[in-house]
Amino acid sequence: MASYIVRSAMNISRRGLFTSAVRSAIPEEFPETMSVLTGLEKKEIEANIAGKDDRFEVQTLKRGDNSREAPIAIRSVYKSRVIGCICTDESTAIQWMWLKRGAPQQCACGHYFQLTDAKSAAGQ
Amino acid sequence: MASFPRIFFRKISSTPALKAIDAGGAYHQEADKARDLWKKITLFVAFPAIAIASANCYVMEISHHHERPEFVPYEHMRIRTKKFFWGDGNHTFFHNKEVNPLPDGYED
Amino acid sequence: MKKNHPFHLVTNSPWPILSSFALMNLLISTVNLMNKKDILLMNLSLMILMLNLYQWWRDVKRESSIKGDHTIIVKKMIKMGMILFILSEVMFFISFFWGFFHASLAPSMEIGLKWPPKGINPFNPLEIPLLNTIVLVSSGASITWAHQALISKKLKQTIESMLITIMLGLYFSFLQWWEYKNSSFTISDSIFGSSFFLTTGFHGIHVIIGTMFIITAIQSIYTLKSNSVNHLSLELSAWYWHFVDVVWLFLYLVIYWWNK
Repeated sequence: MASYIVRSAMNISRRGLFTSAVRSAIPEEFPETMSVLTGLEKKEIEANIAGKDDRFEVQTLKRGDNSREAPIAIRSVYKSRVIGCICTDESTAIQWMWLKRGAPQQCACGHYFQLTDAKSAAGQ
Repeated sequence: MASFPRIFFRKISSTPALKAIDAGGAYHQEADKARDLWKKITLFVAFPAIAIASANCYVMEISHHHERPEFVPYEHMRIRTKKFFWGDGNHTFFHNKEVNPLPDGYED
Repeated sequence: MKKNHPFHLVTNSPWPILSSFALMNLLISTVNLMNKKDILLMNLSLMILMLNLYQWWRDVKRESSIKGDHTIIVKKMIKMGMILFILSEVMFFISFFWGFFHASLAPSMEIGLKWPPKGINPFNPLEIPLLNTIVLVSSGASITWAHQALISKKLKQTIESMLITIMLGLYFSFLQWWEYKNSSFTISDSIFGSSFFLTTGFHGIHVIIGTMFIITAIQSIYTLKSNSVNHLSLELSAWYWHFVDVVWLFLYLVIYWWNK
């Protein structure tokens, strides 16, 4: 018993300051950044590299021409999404509304919006 | 004025994801340069400065002779409205009997 | 759970409520220590609090590194939280400086109508306080070196420069302890001693906390949980360290130098 304790104490003391069974010396360089990223963070950065800054479409959109036949497409994975319409350039308040799945909806100022499918970035 | 918050928020997101990924690009070289500069500042400016200041402290400490002042029981000094909750309740936490008198004078 | 937004909706966690209770226990047991001279309970609740915080931050670290939940906007919000926290700390120190100026700019009759008060022999600012200033400013340089080394992906240099920063932090703490030990005035020597030790003492505690913060950042880098885009532990600990540094500069100017 005593010899076992001495032996394991010796083994532990040989491991050095940072105990790690796998790496003994600190490598010079970090591993390649893209290889260690996961999850949403990785998806966002991949989109950034591909030239798409707003991967999750949360930034303000520039509203183009629209009509009942060609409404502005708002993407979501859910049944509804809150949107805010800045009705005129001089508006000081944002007109918030729930956009429901289905037919195009109109803001009080007359613009058309429709909820369309988005691919889920996480989960199923 | 209205754009101030926007500028502020852009400034604090100081991790430019794209740039930091770009291994061989200009940003990497920039970071290499900055790293070398700060390494040199640490090793060749900061360390000598610390060494000189330490030596200065040491020399000044051994050169002048410490003479503790005569004990005068001023009313605004050595205040003990309540006992300390350590020791005998009469010694401050960093008490040094060579230089710090108790309310009724030096200990030795 | 489907999602197509960058926000991090956190899952249920036991740590907020458990650390709240640990904090309450710490408060009550500290009062107990002060009144009954019994330190056992305080040590116990301090230990419970430490374990809580360790596991809470471990979970946050796992969310960021293994789950990849920290998108750009989440990082931005964490940074906002840190800014607000540091701002509150600034206010905390402003109150001590306020108290100091209140007592020193118009010294009262009880302390001899002069500042420093009669019978007080302050430190020579050109000895250890100057060395302390240089040590802290230097550690600011070495932590900037660490940050740049991390961005340019040099693992070994990052860890080395952070170890240098920690050594400098420990050197500062040692020098402050030595200064306290050899001080000719104590915390109960007039308003001068009270405000001096209250302010520098809280600053010293912040240096120790900052050192521990940098040690956790080293751990995160050594286990490769930080990388060139996701390294808030180092960045925020550097912010905190710079804050401690700036507070010291004001302390040095006002309480050590101008005071003399």
